[in-house]
Amino acid sequence: MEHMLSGVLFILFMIVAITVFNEKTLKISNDIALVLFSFLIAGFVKILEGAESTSTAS
Amino acid sequence: MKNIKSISLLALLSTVISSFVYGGIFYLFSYIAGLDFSIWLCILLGCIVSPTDPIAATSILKKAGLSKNVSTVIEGESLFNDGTGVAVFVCVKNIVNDVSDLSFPVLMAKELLGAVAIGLAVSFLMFRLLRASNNPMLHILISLLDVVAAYIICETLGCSGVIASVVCGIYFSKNMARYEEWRKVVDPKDWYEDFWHLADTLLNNILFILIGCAVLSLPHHPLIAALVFGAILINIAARFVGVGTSALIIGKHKIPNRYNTMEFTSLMTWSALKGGLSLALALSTAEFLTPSNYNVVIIVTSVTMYFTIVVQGLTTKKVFAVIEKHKADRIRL
Repeated sequence: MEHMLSGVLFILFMIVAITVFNEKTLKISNDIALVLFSFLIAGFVKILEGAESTSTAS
Repeated sequence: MKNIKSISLLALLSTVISSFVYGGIFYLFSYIAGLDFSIWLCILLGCIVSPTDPIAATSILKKAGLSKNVSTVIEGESLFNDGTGVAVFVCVKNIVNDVSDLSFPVLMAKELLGAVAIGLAVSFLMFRLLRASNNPMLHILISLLDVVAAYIICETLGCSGVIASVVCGIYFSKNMARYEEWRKVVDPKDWYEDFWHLADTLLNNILFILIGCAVLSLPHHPLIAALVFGAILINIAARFVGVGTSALIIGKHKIPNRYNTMEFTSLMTWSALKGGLSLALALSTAEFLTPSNYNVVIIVTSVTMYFTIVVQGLTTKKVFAVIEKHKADRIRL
């Protein structure tokens, strides 16, 4: 239940943050902005995870 | 109504042709790359990446000055080809799994016609119930019940729940428009419209965030670079062939907005963005594919989705401007 709530909170926060940022600065289609930024954030997390597992292995 | 021929040809024929062309080219690609993919599995992959999503393309194009005719065609196609894509996917999945004795056209007819009949029957009953009440809250609940009931009945009887849902949506929106004056009296604050608008926006936003986050579950593959290029190029080629064939059948004079076949095909190819449906279909293959083939399906689908949404989505306006310029030059000459 706690995981679900934090998941909902994370998604809502992402939607609001990206939408506000897009409306103020980028002004591209909001759908594209949502995909682009969540992709970039998730990609960054994945890279960090990869780097962490490499350093743990070495 | 005047675009019904273009929309139905694009939604039905173009999606089926694109899926099979995609399958054919990907089969060659997998043979060269040494992947263990049968022809039907390649066609299944084609079915996964062929349905387009109406998401951002039309809003971008409308801002750029796209005529209402063409935006109706793009939206109409995106709305209906989801159903066609799912129906073809289920049929091909049965062939891949070798679980059905029915032939491909019979399976298609069962999936499509069964879903349309159930969608219409459930919506007819639900709308009669809705008309009997003057409570706008109840109208919202009945519209929700309509979609859920039709979907569950279809899934239980082995028809396409997605197509039934689309039929329910069209039935309700057409009939709500028909009884507009009655609706204005019983629902003066337009709660029904507002509810569906909010649900659409919220669920779409959540979907796009989840699509972006799907990169976290991308598996590793030794041929990742080849798969990325292959996925992008094969998708564009298959879509171009599918739309081009449909445009030739529609006929030069029936193509909207005075585009010629090449201009219309190019616009429809580049504005075809892939969305959550493709990802959902790809994820559903986990139950019957081997892990290595499943990884390839997920990589190809995700790459296609990200490329179409980000690259095609952000450049659609420019492509539209080039096509418009080309059209203006051609008409002037």
